[in-house]
Amino acid sequence: MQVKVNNQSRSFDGDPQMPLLWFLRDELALTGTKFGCGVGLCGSCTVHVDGKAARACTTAMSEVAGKAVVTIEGLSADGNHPVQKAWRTENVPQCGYCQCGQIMQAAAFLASNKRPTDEQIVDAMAGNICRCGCYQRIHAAVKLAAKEA
Amino acid sequence: MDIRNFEPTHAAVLENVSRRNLLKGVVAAGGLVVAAQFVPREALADENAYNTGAGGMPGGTVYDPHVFVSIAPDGTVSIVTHRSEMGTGTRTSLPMVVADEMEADWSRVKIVQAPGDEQKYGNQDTDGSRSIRHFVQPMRACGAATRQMLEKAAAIMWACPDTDVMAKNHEVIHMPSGRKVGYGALAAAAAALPTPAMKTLVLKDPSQFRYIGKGQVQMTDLRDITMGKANYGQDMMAPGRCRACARWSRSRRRRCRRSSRRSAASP
Repeated sequence: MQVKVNNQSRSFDGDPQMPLLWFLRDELALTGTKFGCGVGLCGSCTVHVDGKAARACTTAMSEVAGKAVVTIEGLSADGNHPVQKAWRTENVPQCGYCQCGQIMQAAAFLASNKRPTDEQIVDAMAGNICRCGCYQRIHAAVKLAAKEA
Repeated sequence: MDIRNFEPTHAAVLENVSRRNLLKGVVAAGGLVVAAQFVPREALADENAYNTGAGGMPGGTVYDPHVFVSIAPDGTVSIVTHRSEMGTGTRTSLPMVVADEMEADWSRVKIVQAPGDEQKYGNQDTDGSRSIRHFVQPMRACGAATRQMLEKAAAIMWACPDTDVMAKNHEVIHMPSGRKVGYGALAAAAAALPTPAMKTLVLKDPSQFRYIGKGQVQMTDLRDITMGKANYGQDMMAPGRCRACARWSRSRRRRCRRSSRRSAASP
């Protein structure tokens, strides 16, 4: 099967039930996508599949055949996507482990909603958990990115 | 060494050769990477401004600028951070303390992560909210010692009294004439000087702090974190490494299993 990852065509001939997460991390060495819970509860493995946020740990390879996957490494060429810039301006991360997933979730959300309300931001980011508790700064960064984009 | 058998009166054993090896990949030849001073850890504990309890930890604290600071001829300052980054930012803040005390320009500082070696670096058990509490004084001492060695080297070069020179933002200034010399040019001469005794160190007055407490320095890994480039334990690759993770019940919404595959991505 073929899958496009960060605009590059990749082929995969393994178990079609293998989660996308391990293809990204183990086969392509795209380790920015993190394993957190493995059951789609924490959001740290969030990537884009055809532009929509998806949890790579519960997305089987068979589900992404012929689709376009974007990971944190492919979000922007230089790390200057408006969401990434806002994350730095607001000094969002502490340990940073969940932040790639947070950023990917926010980027997909803002692509579909350019002027979100506070409530919509809370709803959109509710599935991404941060053990350091950076939620206020995450919220501020999403707002800033919406303003700057 | 078994850290459980730590002997608190044990003097720091600092092995110069291994230190050279450690820093070889980081800085060019030269710089502040020579003869070590051997300071018993008890002495350091006694001379702390206040008792933090650091001296009672395995490995204690180490006062030796040669262990934590090196300056390359181009002026790049490498500062070793010996604690683990757990998300509290100590990988940035402890080197920042050193940089502030030694009047280094933060934009010319490289942070070097230490390997595990408590004999060399002091305690590395990163828990209990102790990194700043236990190490702010030793790091300030290392920074102040480095600053004083650089000032001394400049005073010798200019054949002037020590009181005529002052370190400021990566340079030492000859105050009567206004002449300046960069840290890179002074590094080799400074490194050859004896490390000042802790008692002779003059720490900065907090009003003179350049970075500490200003809230201007960002986490050194901030950009990498936002780009997926920051490395965590899970991201370490080893040749032929196999990974395993829990396989969840098939009654779940989706059935996903991890094939047992060798990591093709391993370097």
